[in-house]
Amino acid sequence: MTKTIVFKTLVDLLYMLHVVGLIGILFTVPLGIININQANLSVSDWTIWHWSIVMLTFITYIVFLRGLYFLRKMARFLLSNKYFSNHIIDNLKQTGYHFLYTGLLYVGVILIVFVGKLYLGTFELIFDDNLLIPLFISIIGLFFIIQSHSLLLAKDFKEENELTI
Amino acid sequence: MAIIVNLDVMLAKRKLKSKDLADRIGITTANISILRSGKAKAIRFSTLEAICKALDCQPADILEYSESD
Repeated sequence: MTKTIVFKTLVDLLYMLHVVGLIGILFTVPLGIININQANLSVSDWTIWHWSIVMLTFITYIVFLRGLYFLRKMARFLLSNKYFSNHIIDNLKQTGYHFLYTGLLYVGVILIVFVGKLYLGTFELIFDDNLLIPLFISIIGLFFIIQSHSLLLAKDFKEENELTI
Repeated sequence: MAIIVNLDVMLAKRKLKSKDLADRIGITTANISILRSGKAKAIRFSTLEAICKALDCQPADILEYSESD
């Protein structure tokens, strides 16, 4: 039970921090408080390619936040100790799919950046954390999907066992 | 479900109540209720044997296969 409470608290904290960050971005950017640069270019000089990267990154972030929201919901139901309830199974599955899509979209962003640079005549192969994050998120997403499937199977077995007279 | 449980019929024939049967075969009335309502997913041979013994009948008197469902 203690682990569940710690898990729920950490997920809540992560979600809140992300939402606060997102609200911060939405307020500070239009007001021009911070200077946004991409590849040493000011916003006014951005091309469609730059804007598509920003938009795709933003969509990826929103998908990730939605996945986190489902994880938070799942953690809330986890506190009631009903591990085989449909709420937990459905929310875990939703979290998994959202994290998987986040990973795929992130890979899409990396590919767009790579192809764009290639188009401009620069060939760059950089190995850093940015490559590992989508891989990790995709693995976690797939694990959640598999976990929800196994929970569903376990629920059916439990139900069958309970209804065997 | 294609298998119909005719426990109600047998109980009526033997003029027994669910509680009496539950007491005789040593299972809860809730489980008897699950059996009677057709919600049960499976029945153990030991339970079936106990029911047949208590009601003095054959398994076919309690269980019936119907093709309609």
